Amino acid sequence: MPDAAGALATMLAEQAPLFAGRGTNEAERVRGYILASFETAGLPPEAVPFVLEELETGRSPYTVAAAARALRGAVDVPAEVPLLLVGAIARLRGTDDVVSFERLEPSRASGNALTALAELARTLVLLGPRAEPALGALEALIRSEGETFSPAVRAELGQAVEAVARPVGSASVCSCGGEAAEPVAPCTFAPLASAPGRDLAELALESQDGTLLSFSEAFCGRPTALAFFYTRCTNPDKCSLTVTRLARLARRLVREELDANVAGITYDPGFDRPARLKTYGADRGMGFSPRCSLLRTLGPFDPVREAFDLGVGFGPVTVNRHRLDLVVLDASLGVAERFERRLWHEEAVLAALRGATAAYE
Amino acid sequence: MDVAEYRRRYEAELAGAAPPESPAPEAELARTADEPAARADALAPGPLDEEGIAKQVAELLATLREPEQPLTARMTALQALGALDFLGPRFAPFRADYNQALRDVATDPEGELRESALELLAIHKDPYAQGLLVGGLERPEESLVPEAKAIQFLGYDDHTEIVPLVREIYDRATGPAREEALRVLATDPQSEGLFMRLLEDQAEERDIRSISASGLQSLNPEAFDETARKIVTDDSDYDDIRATSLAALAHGREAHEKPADPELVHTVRKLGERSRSQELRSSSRRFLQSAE
Repeated sequence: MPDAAGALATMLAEQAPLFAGRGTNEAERVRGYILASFETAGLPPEAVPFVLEELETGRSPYTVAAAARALRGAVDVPAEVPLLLVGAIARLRGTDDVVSFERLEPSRASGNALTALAELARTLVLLGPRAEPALGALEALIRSEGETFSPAVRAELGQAVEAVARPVGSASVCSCGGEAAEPVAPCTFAPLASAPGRDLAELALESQDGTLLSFSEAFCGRPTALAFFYTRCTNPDKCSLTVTRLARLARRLVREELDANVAGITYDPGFDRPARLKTYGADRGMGFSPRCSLLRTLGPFDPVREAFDLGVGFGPVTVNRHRLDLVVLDASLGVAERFERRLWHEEAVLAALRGATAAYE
Repeated sequence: MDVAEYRRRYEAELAGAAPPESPAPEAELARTADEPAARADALAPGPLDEEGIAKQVAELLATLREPEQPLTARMTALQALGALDFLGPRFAPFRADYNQALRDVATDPEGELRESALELLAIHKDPYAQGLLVGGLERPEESLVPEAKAIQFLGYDDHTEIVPLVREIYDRATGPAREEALRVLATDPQSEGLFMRLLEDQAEERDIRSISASGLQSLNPEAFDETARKIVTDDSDYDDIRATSLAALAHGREAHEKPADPELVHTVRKLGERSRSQELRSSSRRFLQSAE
C-alpha cells in the first residue's frame, strides 16, 4: 500500500494540522499510532527520518516502540539503525512500559501486550545478522545493566543477541530489507538559495537581558548559528542539550576567533520571558555577550516558524512537539546550511560557519 | 547531596531496618491472611537483594490488585511499592508491571486507593490516567476523584493542554477546585491579566490572592513587581498579603540580581519600623538585607 504509507508519512510533520491544538501526550499518541502502522503499510523513505529521530532522542516508550515497529515494514534499513535500537534500549531501560497499538485511545493494554523494550528487541531479532555492528554494544549493555531489565525483557534481549550473532547465511527471511543497508539520509542539507532571514529583518526580538532589537540588528553582518528551543521542553536530549551545545559552540568561536553569532530563539515567547531565558542559558553554560544570546519574539512566533519552515507544533498554550532545528545564516541573513531532526554536532556547525565566514570575507 | 548516594544510603537503611530473624514473607502473609492489620505489617519492606525485591514486588502487586483484600492491606502494599520505586534502577525491572497495576486500580471501587493510584500515574504523566481524569472533569457523573484533585493531578503535566478546560472550570468553581484551577493557569501566559486582577482585589479570598501572586510572578516577574509594590505600600491592604508580596519582591530581586530601588527601600524601612505585624516586620528585614 505505497500510497497509504506515503499519505501517512505526510501526517508526521510536527506542524501538520493533525497535531494543532493537541496536548503533548495526545500528539505523541497520534504520532506513535501512525509510526506503528508502517509495519503493515510499509515504511516509505520519507518517513525514515522520523523513525530515526524517535530512536535517537525519543523518551516516550509508546512512540519509541512504534518506531521500532515501523522499521519492520522497511525495505532498506539504514546502517545506523541497529546502534540506534540499542541506544533506545539503554535510554528507556528505567522507564519501560506496556504498549499497545490496537487502538488510538490510551487504554489498559491486554495481558499479552509487550513492553517497549521487548518491541525494540524483537526488531533486532528481525534484523538478525544485519544488526551485527551493534552486537558488541548490545552485549555490553546486557552485561552492565542486565539487572535493570525484567526477566521477560532479558529473555527477549537474549533472543536478539542470538539472532544478531547468527552467521549471515542462516538468517531467517525478514521483511526488513536487503543486505546492503544504505547510510541514512543526511541530517544536513545543501545550501539553500532562499533568504528567509531577510523577510524577518524587522521582526522585533528581546534578549535574555531585556534588550530590544530587530532580527536584522541581531544577526546581520556576520554568520549566525541559530537554533530553536523552549524552556518547558521535557526531553533532555532536545532543548536542554541544544542550548548546552550552543554554549560550547560559542566558546569554540571565541577560541578560534571566528566572527559569528550563536543564538537561540524560543518557540514559547509568552512564557520564556527574559529572566527565564537568562537562567536557562546560564544553567547550561551560556556566556552571554552581543554575539551569544537567547531571544524571544515580542509578538507571535509564527513568522519565524513559517520563514524557516520549522518542525514545531503547538497546543492551546505551548509546544506539543518539535524536531531539532538549527540554521546557519550567512552575513546577509540567507540560509547557508540547516541541520534538522537529528542531533547536530558542534564540529559540523562550526564548519558551516567557517564556510559562511569565508564567503562573507 | 548526590541522588545516587542518597539512594545508596536509603537502601542501606531499609536493609538495616529489616529484622534478620523475620519469618519468610510468604509464610507471614499466609498466616495473616485474615488479620488486616497484621497483614499490612507483613507487607513492610524486607531484604533488598534481587530475589528478595522480586518476591516482594510480586506479592505487593498481587495484594494491591486483589479486590478481596482489605483496604488497609492494599493501601500498605501501594505505599510499600512507592517506597521500592525510590530504589530507581533496582525497581526498573518491575516498572511496567507496577504501571499496569496502578492502571488496574485507577478505577477501583475503593476511592482512597483509586485516588492514590491516579495521583502516582499522573505524576508520571500517564496518558491513560490523564484520559480518565479529563473524562471526569468533562462528565462529572464519571469522575473518579473530586474535581479539585483531578485538576491538581492533571496539573503535574504542563503539556496536557487542559488550560481551556480549566478556564471553564475556574469560571464556575468554588473552594479548592477554584484554587487548583488557578494553579494550573499559572502556566498560561494568557492568564496574566486574571492574576493581576485577583492579586489587586482586596475583596478576594486571601488564598486566591496568594496563589495569584505566585502565578503572576512566574508568568511575568516585571508585572508582578509593579503590582506587589502597590500592595506593599498600600496601608489599607492586609498585613499578611503585604508581607507575602514583600517576601516575593525580595526573592525576585535576589534571584535575578536586580538593583534595589532607593524609593522602595525607603518605604520598606519605614514600614518595618512602624508595623505591628510580626510577619510584615520580618519580610521588611529580609527585603532590606537583600537590598544591601
